[in-house]
Amino acid sequence: MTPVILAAVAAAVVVLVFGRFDRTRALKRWGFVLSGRAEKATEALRSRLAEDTEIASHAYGLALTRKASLSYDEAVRLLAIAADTIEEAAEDRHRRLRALSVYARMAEAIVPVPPVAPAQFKLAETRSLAMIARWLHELLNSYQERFRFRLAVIGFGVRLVVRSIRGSRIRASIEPSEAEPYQTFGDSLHDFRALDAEQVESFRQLMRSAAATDRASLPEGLRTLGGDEAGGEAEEKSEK
Amino acid sequence: MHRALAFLGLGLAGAAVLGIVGRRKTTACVSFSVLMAASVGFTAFFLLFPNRYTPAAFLAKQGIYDSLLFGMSVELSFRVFSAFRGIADSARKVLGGLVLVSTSAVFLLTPQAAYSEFWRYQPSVTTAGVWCLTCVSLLIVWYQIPVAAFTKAIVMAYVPYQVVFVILVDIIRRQGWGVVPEVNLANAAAYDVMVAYLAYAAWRKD
Repeated sequence: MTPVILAAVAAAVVVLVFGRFDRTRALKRWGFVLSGRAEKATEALRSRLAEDTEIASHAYGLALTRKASLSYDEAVRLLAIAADTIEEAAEDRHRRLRALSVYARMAEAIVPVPPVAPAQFKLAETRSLAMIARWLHELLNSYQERFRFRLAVIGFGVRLVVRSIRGSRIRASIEPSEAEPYQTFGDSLHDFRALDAEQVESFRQLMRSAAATDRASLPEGLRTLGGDEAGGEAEEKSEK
Repeated sequence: MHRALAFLGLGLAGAAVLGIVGRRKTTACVSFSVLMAASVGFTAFFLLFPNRYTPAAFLAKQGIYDSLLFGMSVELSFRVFSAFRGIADSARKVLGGLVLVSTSAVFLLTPQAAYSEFWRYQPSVTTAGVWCLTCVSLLIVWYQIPVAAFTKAIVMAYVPYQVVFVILVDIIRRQGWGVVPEVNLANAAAYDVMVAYLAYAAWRKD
């Protein structure tokens, strides 16, 4: 009976995983990896990520002003808008991190990346996460593993920040006159921005690594990929 | 009925072989092309000379198929991953380990190949081969290797068919040799579906 179960599992894996594999999408990904537009693509990503946090920061700033003028209902409403913006942005960050992880597998080699620095964070949980991650980072064997671990840490950090934002939003709605929820919200926003910066840095290092891929060693179909900028842009959009 | 299905399978497999050669797809996986050609050859031979279809001939045929199944995994992994220097090492480790473990298990754990004991060892051998192919396909997805459509079709057709084969052999183990005619019928039907898909994939322009 065991071989039957094992064979059935294998067939299910092949049909579900390999069956959904799209060659065109894979080619697009390779085109993006080999495009070698590290600086330009990094700047584009940086400004795109900044758009989300700017909206949230603006709403948070207005919430603080309303709180100072004792308009607590309005302050809580603005805080909710900022929280929703961050929660939506967090989903986008997770998607991007997953895509980066895929690209990291495709790169021939990854340049050494430093661990996520704990000192830049204000929340205790994200700082603790970064400290533990820094220690684990040294235990990993290859640069590929370290890079993917770095992405996992950033992803986990985003989850912690979103949890903190949700908590402070709820506390602010219960006790709108208290300073603590607003302070924690501000710290969470700061950490979210710091994690964005770490994500941009990971992306930049990945693009640098990919640019160093030896095209001559690749199969014929991939050697000519990545030459056109439109292909890379399109892939960036589809990954988004 | 079984004979009709066997003739249909022969025709479809022949069409698949012609498509593979005609469309120059032999290089997608030479072992598979050989497997298909061998399948056509054996089927035609046994249909022409049914009295030659002895247990020894069946075991010889199955041994060749099994060897080619493992050969397909090794060849596909070599063809697909060798150009990617960053990936080739990991792929070699995973597949090398798997082939080593599965081959050792097949040699050490299965009884001596005899037709009367066929149902005892064949499912393990086929399952090991199927898992080798599954690992190759998982590595392709993991590393996003843009393999040719026909390479994908080979795995997508061959693995599910092999599972049907394993299930049918297990039915013989459970029910006894009396169910062989029904099992042969089901196997021929599954084989025909597989070769029909492969013939379509072989003739399709990629």
